[in-house]
Amino acid sequence: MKLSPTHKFFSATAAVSVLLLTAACGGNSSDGASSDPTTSATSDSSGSSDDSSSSSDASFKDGTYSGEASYVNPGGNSKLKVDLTLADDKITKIKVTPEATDPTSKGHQTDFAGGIAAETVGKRIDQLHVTTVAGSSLTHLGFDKAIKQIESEAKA
Amino acid sequence: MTAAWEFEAIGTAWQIDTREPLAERVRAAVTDRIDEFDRVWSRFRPDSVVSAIAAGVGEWELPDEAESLFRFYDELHDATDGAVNPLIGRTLADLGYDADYSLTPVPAPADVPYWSSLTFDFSPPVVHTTEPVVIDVGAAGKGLLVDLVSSILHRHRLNQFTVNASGDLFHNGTTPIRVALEHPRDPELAVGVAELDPELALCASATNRRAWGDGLHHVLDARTGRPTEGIIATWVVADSCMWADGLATAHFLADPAVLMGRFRHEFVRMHADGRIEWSPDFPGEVFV
Repeated sequence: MKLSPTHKFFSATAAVSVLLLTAACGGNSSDGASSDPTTSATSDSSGSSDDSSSSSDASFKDGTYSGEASYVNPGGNSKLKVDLTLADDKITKIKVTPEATDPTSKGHQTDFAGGIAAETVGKRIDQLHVTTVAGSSLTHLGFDKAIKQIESEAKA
Repeated sequence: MTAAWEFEAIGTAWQIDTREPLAERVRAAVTDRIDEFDRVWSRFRPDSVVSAIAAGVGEWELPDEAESLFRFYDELHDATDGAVNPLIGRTLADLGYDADYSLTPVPAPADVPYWSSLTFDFSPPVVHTTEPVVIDVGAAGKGLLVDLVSSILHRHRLNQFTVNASGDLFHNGTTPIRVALEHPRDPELAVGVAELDPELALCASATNRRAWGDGLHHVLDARTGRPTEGIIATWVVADSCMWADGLATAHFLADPAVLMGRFRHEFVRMHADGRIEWSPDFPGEVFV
């Protein structure tokens, strides 16, 4: 996708302001019980190997960025996730996804004294002496069949 | 429990454990009840009441179970600020989760109609529509059906049984059962174990298995018409399976403190980044 220089400039500005907006709102929506911030802008250099000839006056590093923006609407806090790919200061791909209200905002997190852990150490089910298993691996036979059919068609 | 009856219904594997094998007439009563439920509520059956509602505008009389189901949906809708709404059916179908399992989204999926666009009378339950709407009772319907099957077993004087409809289960007996909470990313692992006392239900829900395409799965936020992100699996223990099922869906979409304040239940839920949360009195253990 080619963008005109003007368009490029505004798009990049918009992208930056989205990321700044995230940072500005981070204090309100960051998760109290976890150290990982809701604000994230990660660069994935492996995805942009085609654009190795980046020009020297580039003000943004090539890569894939993602950020979250929070805003207040009458229904409460809402969030948007923005994924964009930059190459040579051009936005080559952008995707905006609305997200559900952050269910673990700091104010509420302290209300119920449940547990939270950064990760779970799974244990092998066959060593647990259980009557049955509650999960999703058996959930839907018709659905599973459709998925398998699509997979086999894709391989054919 | 020594006897296990396994069968397939409404597209799902069922298992009913009892002390003695179930009599043929009890099995027939169970499968008849499931079929009766499906003929009303399946949005995949062209002859269902839900399909008739989807095709027209008017009034439809519904079976008795509609009252508790719709009253519960009302409460869930309220507690989740509209994120839980059974009128997601058309959007879900447009995203590819349709009768043919096309799993191919249309370019512009329909918006979800307001839940208030339906009105009800109760006893007998009658629904009034002003536009064709596609009702999808996926959030709580399977749990309700497990409760209805359990009441049939009660009616046949059975008091020791476990009904398990692949993720929605109701246990009745004299001793608790241990249920592994399957890791959503590895079916050989458990993230915890629930100790389920008699007369309690446990429901598990995960978005990554029944998923297709670009972040598409079956748990929608009705306000955006998009699949949820953030939470990838939930488990809820409650007095009825309908409650456990509906709350398992709600925990993808709402603040746990709000749900804990409004509904008596216990939960575990897992975030996409691997974090895991649980209510203080969850019966069992979470492996952390």
